Amino acid sequence: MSQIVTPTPSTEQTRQPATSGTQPAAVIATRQRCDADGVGLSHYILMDRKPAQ
Amino acid sequence: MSDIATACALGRHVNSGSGPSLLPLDIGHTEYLALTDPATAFWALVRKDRLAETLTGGPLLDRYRAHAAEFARELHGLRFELKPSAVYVNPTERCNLDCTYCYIPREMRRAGEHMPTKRLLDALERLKDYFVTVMPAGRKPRVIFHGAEPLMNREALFAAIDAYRDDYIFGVQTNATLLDEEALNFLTERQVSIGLSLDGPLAEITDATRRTWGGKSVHNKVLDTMERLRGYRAWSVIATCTAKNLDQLVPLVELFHARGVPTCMLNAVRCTMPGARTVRPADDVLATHFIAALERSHALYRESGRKLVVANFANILLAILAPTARRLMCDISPCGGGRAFFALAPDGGLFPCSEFIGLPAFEGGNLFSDSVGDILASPAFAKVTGRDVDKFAPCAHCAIRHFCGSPCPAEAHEMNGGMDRIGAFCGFYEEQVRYALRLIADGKANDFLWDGWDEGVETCFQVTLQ
Repeated sequence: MSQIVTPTPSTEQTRQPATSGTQPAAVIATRQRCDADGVGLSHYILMDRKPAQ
Repeated sequence: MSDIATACALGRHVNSGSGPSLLPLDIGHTEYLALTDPATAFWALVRKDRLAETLTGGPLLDRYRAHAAEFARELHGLRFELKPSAVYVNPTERCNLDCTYCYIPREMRRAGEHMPTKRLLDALERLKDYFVTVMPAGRKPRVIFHGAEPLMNREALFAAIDAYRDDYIFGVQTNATLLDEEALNFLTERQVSIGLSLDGPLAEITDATRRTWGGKSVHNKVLDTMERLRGYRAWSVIATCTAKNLDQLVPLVELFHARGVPTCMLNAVRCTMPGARTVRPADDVLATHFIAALERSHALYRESGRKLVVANFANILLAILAPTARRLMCDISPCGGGRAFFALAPDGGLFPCSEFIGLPAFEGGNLFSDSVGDILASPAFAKVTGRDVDKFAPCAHCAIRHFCGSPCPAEAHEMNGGMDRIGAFCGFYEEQVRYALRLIADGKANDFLWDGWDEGVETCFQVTLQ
């Protein structure tokens, strides 16, 4: 295993295929986070993190 | 102390001593399987031909060791340290529909009571007094008027929205049948979020589970309302997946996309009440049709450039990619009921979630006679907030238990016999998580998430090895 991609402030991992050329990456691991501010319901309708105030 | 003993104490080896605990999970991908540490909701996708090498040491393990404690703290905070920021308010017991799977008892929906306007205003005042004690300054709590059918008590509902528009963010979940032009204007002018319900692309499908007490169809009325909401910022549609509509989920997402629905939910029917269990689909059949609908929504996005987000699945993806960014609090353990939100019944009774309103044993107290703090700490609420997948089988040994949370406690209690049982759709959630991990492996995850989901989100761990 030859390459470590260090943490970057982006969500590129979710947007790019895991393959590099014809050889898929050997390992993919990513985690993102934000403030767990308690915005959480059982329906979608009010899930906007920044709704119109 | 010998060198060997010291080495073991350092956690040098996977799955022994204090080393990382990583469970392998077959995700059904040609190239990859997953490794998870369920205690921290950590995951990695590992190419199958590199599994042994990965587990015997190297950069992934080194980096995970450095972050494991931080991930554990993050997950603990999400699971046990949130304060309520929302309340479901049922302003009436009545509904003009008689849906097969409703969790409100039939006699209550047919002939129940409205909450008088003055009483509803009093309730919102009391709730406001509570939320100011637990929410940060500058953030508004959320009130979702829910059912039964909230617009059956329209006068009280609208009076409450006007009286407290500066204090709450409001939403209404409605069957759409009473949303006339005046009501729609009232709600949209005030930026109230609106959730509708529709179970099929054709009237005969919707009618199988959603109809008036007299048996009349409401399908076209919902379609008409959808048309009038086209372009509005904050609306969504919930379809309840049952044995009656599974083979129509693909055309249903086509209909939603064609009509400009920004977000939908394809919710597995909640099996809390016996009537709902009569239309419960089998897990594997549900998973097959559900994933086909997701694939169709993705194809429509690729063709048109416009997303139809399936929010309940998007939340599973978020639970994996960014646990603290999840927006729905059903698929986490303990669930959000009684700790992130709670529900108010028309008589003032408080329940952990609307799903429990038909179950008197889960009433924690009354808003008009008890303090909200005492109610949240009541034994009735503790039964729900204490349901922890780390503590019962088979979840306690499951590799994905903190991606799914084994919803829902109401189902577990009523259908499966106790809070220490799984919910109604263990196998369905398992397939959703496996599919989500396959999408991540193929670099497609972002296509299934709403635009801007990652605002305010930072990458805290990223390892890609060639």
